[in-house]
Amino acid sequence: MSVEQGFGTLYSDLPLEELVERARQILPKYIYDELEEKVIKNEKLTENSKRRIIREAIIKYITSLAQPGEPVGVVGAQSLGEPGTQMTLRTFHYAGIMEFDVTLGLPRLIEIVDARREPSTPIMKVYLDEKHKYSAEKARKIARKLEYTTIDKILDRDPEWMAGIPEMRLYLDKELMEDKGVTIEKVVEVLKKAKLGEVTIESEDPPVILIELSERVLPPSEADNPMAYIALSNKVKKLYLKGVKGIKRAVIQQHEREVNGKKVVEYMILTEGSNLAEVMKIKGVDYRRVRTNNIHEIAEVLGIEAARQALVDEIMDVLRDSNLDVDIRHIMLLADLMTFTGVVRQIGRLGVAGQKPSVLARAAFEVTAKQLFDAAVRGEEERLLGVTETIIAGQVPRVGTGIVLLTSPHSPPDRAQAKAETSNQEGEGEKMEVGKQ
Amino acid sequence: MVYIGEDREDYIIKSIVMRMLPPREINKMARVTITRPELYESDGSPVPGGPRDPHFGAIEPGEICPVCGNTREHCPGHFGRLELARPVIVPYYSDHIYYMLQATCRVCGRLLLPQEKIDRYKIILKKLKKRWPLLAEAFLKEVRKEAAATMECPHCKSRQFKIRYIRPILFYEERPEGETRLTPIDIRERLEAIRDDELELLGMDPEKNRPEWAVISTLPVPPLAVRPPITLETGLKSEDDLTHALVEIIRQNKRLSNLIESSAPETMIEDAWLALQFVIAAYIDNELPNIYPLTHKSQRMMKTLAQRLKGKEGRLRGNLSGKRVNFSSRTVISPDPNIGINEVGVPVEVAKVLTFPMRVTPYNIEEARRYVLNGPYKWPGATFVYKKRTGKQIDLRFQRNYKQLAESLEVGDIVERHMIDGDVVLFNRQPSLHRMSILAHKVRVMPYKTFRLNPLVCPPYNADFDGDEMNLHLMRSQEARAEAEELLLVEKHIRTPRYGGPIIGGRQDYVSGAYLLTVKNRLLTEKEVIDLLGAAGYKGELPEPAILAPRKLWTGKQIVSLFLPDDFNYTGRAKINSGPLACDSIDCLHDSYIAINRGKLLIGVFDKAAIGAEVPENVLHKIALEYGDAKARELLDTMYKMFIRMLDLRGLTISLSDIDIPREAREEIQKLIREAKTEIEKLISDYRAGRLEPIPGRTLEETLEQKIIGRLNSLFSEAGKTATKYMDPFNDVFVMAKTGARGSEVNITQMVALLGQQVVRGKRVSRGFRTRTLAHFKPGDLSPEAKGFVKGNFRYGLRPTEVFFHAAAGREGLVDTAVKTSQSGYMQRRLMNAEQDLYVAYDGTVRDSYGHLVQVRYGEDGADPMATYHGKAVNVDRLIEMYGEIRESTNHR
Amino acid sequence: MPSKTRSKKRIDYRILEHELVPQHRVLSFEEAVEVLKRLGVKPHQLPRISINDPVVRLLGAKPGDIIEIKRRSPTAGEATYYRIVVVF
Repeated sequence: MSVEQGFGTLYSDLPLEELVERARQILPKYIYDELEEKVIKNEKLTENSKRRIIREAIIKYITSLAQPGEPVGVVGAQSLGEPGTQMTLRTFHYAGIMEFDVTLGLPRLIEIVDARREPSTPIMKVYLDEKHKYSAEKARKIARKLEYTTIDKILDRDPEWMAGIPEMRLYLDKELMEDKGVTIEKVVEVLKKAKLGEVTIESEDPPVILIELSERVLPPSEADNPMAYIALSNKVKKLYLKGVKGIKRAVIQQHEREVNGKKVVEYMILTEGSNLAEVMKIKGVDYRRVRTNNIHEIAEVLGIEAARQALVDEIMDVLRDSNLDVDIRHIMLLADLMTFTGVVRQIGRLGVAGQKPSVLARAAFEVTAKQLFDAAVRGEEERLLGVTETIIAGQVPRVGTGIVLLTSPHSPPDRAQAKAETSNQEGEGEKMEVGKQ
Repeated sequence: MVYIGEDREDYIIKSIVMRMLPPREINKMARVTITRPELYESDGSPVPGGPRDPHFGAIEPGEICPVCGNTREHCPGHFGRLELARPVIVPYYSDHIYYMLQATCRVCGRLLLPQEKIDRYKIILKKLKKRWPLLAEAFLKEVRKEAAATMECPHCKSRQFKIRYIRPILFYEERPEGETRLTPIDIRERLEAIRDDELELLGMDPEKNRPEWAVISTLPVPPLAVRPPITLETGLKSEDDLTHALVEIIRQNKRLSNLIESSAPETMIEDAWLALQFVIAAYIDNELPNIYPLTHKSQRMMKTLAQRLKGKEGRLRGNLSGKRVNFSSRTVISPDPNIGINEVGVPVEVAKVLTFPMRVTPYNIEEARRYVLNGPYKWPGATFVYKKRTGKQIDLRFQRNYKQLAESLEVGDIVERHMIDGDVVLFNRQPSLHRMSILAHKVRVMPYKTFRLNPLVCPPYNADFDGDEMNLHLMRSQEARAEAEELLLVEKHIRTPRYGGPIIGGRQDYVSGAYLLTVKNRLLTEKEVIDLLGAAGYKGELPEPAILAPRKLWTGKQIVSLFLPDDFNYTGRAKINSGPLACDSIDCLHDSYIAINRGKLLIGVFDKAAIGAEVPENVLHKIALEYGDAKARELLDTMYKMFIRMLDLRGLTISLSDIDIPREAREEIQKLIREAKTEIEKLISDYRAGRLEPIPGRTLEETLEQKIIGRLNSLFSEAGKTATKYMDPFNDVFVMAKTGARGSEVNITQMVALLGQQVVRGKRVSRGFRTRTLAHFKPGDLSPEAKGFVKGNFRYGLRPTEVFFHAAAGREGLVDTAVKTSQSGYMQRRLMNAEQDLYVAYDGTVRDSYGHLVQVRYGEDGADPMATYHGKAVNVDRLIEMYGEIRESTNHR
Repeated sequence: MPSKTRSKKRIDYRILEHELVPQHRVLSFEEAVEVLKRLGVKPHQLPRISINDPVVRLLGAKPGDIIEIKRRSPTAGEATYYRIVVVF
């Protein structure tokens, strides 16, 4: 096998135990663990073939390492950019979720690398803890707790009033109340707290509530002004009943899973809208696994490392959904770069590309003139180290074969001889230069 | 002409320091002072002291520069200057002026912070600047904010006022007596008062800059070489936009100075002054907000300084980041499966123009002489000879006596010879989306006028032959050639770094050919075997025939096995392994599970899953990974040739009859359609009657839509299944779809059974008239037909309304693609800009060019995705498959 | 959100258990020096983490501290990363 070539007899005479030890040192944990499980502990394999496999594994790993100078950034950008042309442009897509739309494909990918404050379709995946996840009833209860509900969500129609009579009637929708898990008493309580005036239940079914507006909220001078009523009615509609701010809707999802050969039905909640910090506090929620697709929120609540992981997961999800195959290493590199400074930076002008130390690189990207003037004011020094800068200056970029800085003079035989004679004292090493790094 | 590798001094620019241009420098640079707006005298000579003054440098042929005495070839051009009657603010600097005015005292010019704070901040800044330039930037912003918020000077105790700034150049101060405009003179005075030692806290380097330089009284006038006039065919001179803009500035300046001299009313002077400021702002950037852009008489905007730099065609992106090159060529590509994948066919015409400077050595002097003897017009010849001894350049086009020249060649000379077979060239197809868009090929000079490309290499370029053109570059140094050959050669890019799979490999005919060759019932006569192996260039013995009597016959699998490495093991599913042909072990009756043992294809057919491009971990990929790219290339250059040869032998063609199915099949499909229709009618009537249960969180309409779409989709796949059931398994259309060569089940269904639901904006077709899609339907009709469901198929044709719906969906697809390319193109540009400096350092870490450590280990395991098994650096299962030997004792148990 | 600071305090300990949050550890001075030496970097070349990062606040790290992060890695099984605490 040609891959072996260059390794000659490396490790070929080591006894098994020692090879295993080498493998443990050299191989990443993941590979070593697999090797241990499938080979080292496999009694069916002959010792010789075990040795061969372990040795091959080590060689394979070493040969698969990225070579020094490999421009992994460029390759990563290409690997993510090239399949972009094959992505859907459909903003909305049914990703197995019938209940609501999720942004996917190219728009979502752009949104992620742009590090938008707010995704266009914020969504949370709320997993439940052991006590709650097996019961649809318990799950529904939590879902109701999550949904941000204001009075207008359970209204049958707009509040009724007549200018001149300081009263307002709320006609509630029984079905909606049931669906959201709100009782009429709760509504009354909220209205009382709002201190609008006397609140009475006029009828239980259909549920109607009468508010006698106090003079404090509706001064007599305003009693004839319809605008005052409209303002009040809007205020009433916005009154908070229950739920988590930002969660517009919560839907229960059912999953079947096999545990010890038995089929178990598990429930989880999907929400439209996102509020990680608050949802994590809700009882019954498995706070270890709650997810949101809002990266900035994750950075704020769980920290930059969690945000990095979320970036990787989100991008991989988008790619997987579009049936595109991109190695996770490219995504990890991008995520590490985006979170390098400890905050989630966007990829463009206002983030990674705009914060480069090089004026020319920035100017060549966007807002050219401003970059140049600003650099002049600051008295910046362009050190011509990055790729764009070196290309502009007509020099060799320090990536790929360009990282090799050790040079030795090469001259045809006759000249080399002549040179050696004249410059013997100075020493040939003069032209040799070793890179700084 | 200087040749690379020969006496080349390496001048390296180490750094470029950016600073504001000091007035002193402006004066020092200036070789002429401009006073007049006129360009030419009546006799056509340039006006001295005008923007075309000869002191700006020689630009006419034969002209001698009065400053440096050079002709235009060597004159670098010289600056001039224009004394402004009143000082003017430079736009862009004004943003900085704004915060400086805010943060400093209007009376004493000190930074509006107490002394202790200034001292402390200076120390912090010094520390930050050294290590954390980004943090320093943020810190300075905070300092500025703090100072700007101070309304009483801590030093001289004078009161401060709010400054209002209107981009790009207007400043107002909100004094108690009312808002007053700050003139450039006022501003300059204030800026002059700022102390050097406080400048750095204002974000300016005191060693390089002074803030008052942001207000200029002398305008540098660029040399003519920067703004050359062009002579039109009519003989008329046409001046550059910059010259026009300068004329405008000079006029405005003249007007202002005249007004001042004639002691005109101050308001008139102010107006003229403001006008001058705006013209200068426009001269620097004609697209600034709140200015009057400079235009030509035709209202066309002038391209002033910023416009030259900006944007895709601007100086930076268009000329500095992307450069034009010589020794390149572009023409249409056409396929040639007979050349190797590493090769490219180049027309003789091209080969005679793209030349390589060949240094004459004792080893190649005879060869060099042959080229010279052939001259520039006969391939393989030479176009130039550079004599080392005399340093002379000889153009063979003007040379009669090739023979004498050939004889005079000596070691050390350089012969500019034609491109010949084996030269390494770069080959490229746009858009260059990934590194495989530029690969190195070895030249094969050929007749006719297209570049010839092995069709196996189409996938990396994403090329086809419907008129695609490609670019070819000849590299002119041995260093570049060597690097290209080592790193960019096609065979080194069989595997893609995107996901660790093969990107070069069989497509289309290669796939169907491979299938037809390796299919179970393929038995080949001796003649056929020899023909196939001959196409592959096989040299060796024929294997024992699988059938000896009544005549010798070989199986396709036997023939294919001749090319596989002797110790190669492989198991895996074929592409045809699905539906009725599904199997998941070697015990496979459908021949759809591939098993190769010790280089022998025992069972299974070769199709896309085995030899195709872009299928990770298939036979080709594993061979490339385990036996090296060269071995994979060999396979592509031999075995794959047999696949298409197989098609030559058998023939592969489609006709109308291939997509025709028997009457009973069509009736069955019609029945399915009727069934679906009745179900959907029921859904609609349920919906109308309010009996439909909504999906939680969805409206009733959405629920109905989803249910209808779901039902129609299942109808489509049922119809497809019914159709394929009735098709001949060796029907070529069917073979192509099944093996993954071309087309899919969807395509077959659309041809044979029905087109199915047409989708626009992710929904059933719904727009057009107010409550219906077309006037052919009743208002509010929700039936499948009225909303873009197409019952017709391509075989029997569509109804007029169906044609319309199909066209609507098709058009949307086209628009989508257009939008998508621009969006993803921009995303890729940003990604590239962000990530381009990252590389793997010698210690395995990922760093940027400033030494920032981005990853401790690339990809956390250090593996190059290109060298992996679809992401796995080491595939343990595969190693066991290849080398695992089962213990004797356990075997018996 | 007025309740933001209070709510954050209450879930403090929980975030460390979240599956997205890898294990963070503040390195001792000696360890930090060793890490810098091994990686051949100066502190300012390391990836950063804000002093206001919720995890950093829980750990009580100071600016200039180096945090060792043990990530679960899909490619290597386990990966170590370092970030230096900075003020924003």
